[in-house]
Amino acid sequence: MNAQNSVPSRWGLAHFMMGYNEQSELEGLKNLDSKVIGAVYDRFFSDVYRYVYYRLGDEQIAEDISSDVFVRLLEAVKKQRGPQTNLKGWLLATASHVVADHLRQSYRRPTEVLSDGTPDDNAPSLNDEIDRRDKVDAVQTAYLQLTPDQQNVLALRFGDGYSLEETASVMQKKVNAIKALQFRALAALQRNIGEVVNE
Amino acid sequence: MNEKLYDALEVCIKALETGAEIEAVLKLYPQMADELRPILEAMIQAQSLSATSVPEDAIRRGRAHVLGHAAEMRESSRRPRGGVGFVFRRLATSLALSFVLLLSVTGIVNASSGSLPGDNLYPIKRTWEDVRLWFTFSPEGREELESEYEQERLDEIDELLVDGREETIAFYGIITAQDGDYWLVSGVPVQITAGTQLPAKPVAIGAPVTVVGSTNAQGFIEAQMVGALDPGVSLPPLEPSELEAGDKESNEQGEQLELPQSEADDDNEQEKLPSTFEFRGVVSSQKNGDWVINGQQVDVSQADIIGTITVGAFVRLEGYYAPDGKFMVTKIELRRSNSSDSSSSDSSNNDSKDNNDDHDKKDD
Repeated sequence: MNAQNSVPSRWGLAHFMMGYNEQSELEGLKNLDSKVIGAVYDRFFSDVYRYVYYRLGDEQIAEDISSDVFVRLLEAVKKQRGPQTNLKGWLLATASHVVADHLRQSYRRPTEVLSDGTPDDNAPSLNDEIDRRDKVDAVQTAYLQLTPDQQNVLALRFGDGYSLEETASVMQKKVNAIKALQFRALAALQRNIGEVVNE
Repeated sequence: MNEKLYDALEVCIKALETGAEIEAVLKLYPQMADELRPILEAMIQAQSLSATSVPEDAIRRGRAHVLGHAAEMRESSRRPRGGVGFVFRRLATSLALSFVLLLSVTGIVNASSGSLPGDNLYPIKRTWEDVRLWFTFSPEGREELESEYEQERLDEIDELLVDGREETIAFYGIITAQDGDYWLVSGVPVQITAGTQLPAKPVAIGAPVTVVGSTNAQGFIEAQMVGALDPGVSLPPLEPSELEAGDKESNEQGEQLELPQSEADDDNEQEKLPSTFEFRGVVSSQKNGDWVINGQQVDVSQADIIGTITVGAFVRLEGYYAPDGKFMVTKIELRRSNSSDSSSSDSSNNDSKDNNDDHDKKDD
């Protein structure tokens, strides 16, 4: 897979309506105001977690990376390199960046994932669960073969449940471009799944 | 054509998200059905990768991590920056320590480490302590050393009392019990006599004091002077206040209970209400309402507990000393969890207070 080069500046910074005073919130972050930090965390953690989980399929890693994204936000704001307007877009872009770093590292240091247990012929429910996991693993493998933009569009649309417009805003693309990207991503995913299953 | 296909896909996706079946949806676009079917099947597969829910534990742990990091950032921004002077100081430290090593003074210092007041090597032990303090530049390091040395003073007194020796001593501590002229100061029995010089204002249980006196063969200290201390001085960990609780449990986790902070200044109020104190420390045991924090048993049965506090957590607590010497906690909040436990949203909100603590600490 190509290394993902998404950086916050590539993402949408425009008209993503937040419904709250983002500037004062950013000022609060700069001052390390605990209440503001807590409020920002509460508002966006789920979105970031769902995005990262969708990209990587691992709860623990999703948790670690998600909280790391907020730590990076604090560090960036302190160094005057934080978001200027679109906090959500910045957080998701940073999450994308950290996910890409994680994937690069995991490619360099592949680890063997051990099975939780051995299949038991007398436990059909367990076998069903193993089948389900196998299918999800196949989809995950196929998904990771998509381009970064294709992965992002699927993660935002189906991981976070964003609309076309929201996805376009976060990815700083036009809605029509997202429609086409989504179509190509799903088509590629279907092809990749076929290849993974046949291997 | 493609745009129509993309629009049709979007309509189909929305329909599928409401629970419709693929074949039923495809009837909306029979002319595109063959193209859309594999795409919609892929969309169903793509949905299987999404998280069913966001674990509550993950939210809490992440929150604690982020707020903890913010607190560290606040602390670090308060510390003075090192700069060139810092480098020179460290260089001077290294050279000085090397010089000390070359002169093989360490042997003497080591030999003095077990000495007691009145021993020939005791002045060397105290001088070495001063040297170590002098070369400790960080406020946290100094505070830790000061507290360690105050604990050493208490240990020395214990040894003197056990040996029945009569030596002049001085130490800091907190009054944990008062029975007439018989006091316990950080677990050390102190006899107040007619000749004892006491503070102008009466000192009550929980007050930090300095005691100057002499050990005697009867196993207590005859106080020559008891002085009230200002809030902020580093003190040794509190000892169990009950006389029978002689098995001092040292806390290995390095966090020291700190000085009572918010002592009521109003004398009239002090008569009516018990003075409240504020500490920080590490929870080492939790049994129903009785917890042990840095070796001190405290009662949390009436406390307002903020955050999920487990053994090993670093906490801030407020409360007062009951007449029996037990510390009754009125409020306890998680400052830093032991591992992956969570914190409440307010866990970092008292940093301005922390700052005051830092300013209050003895820091020559």
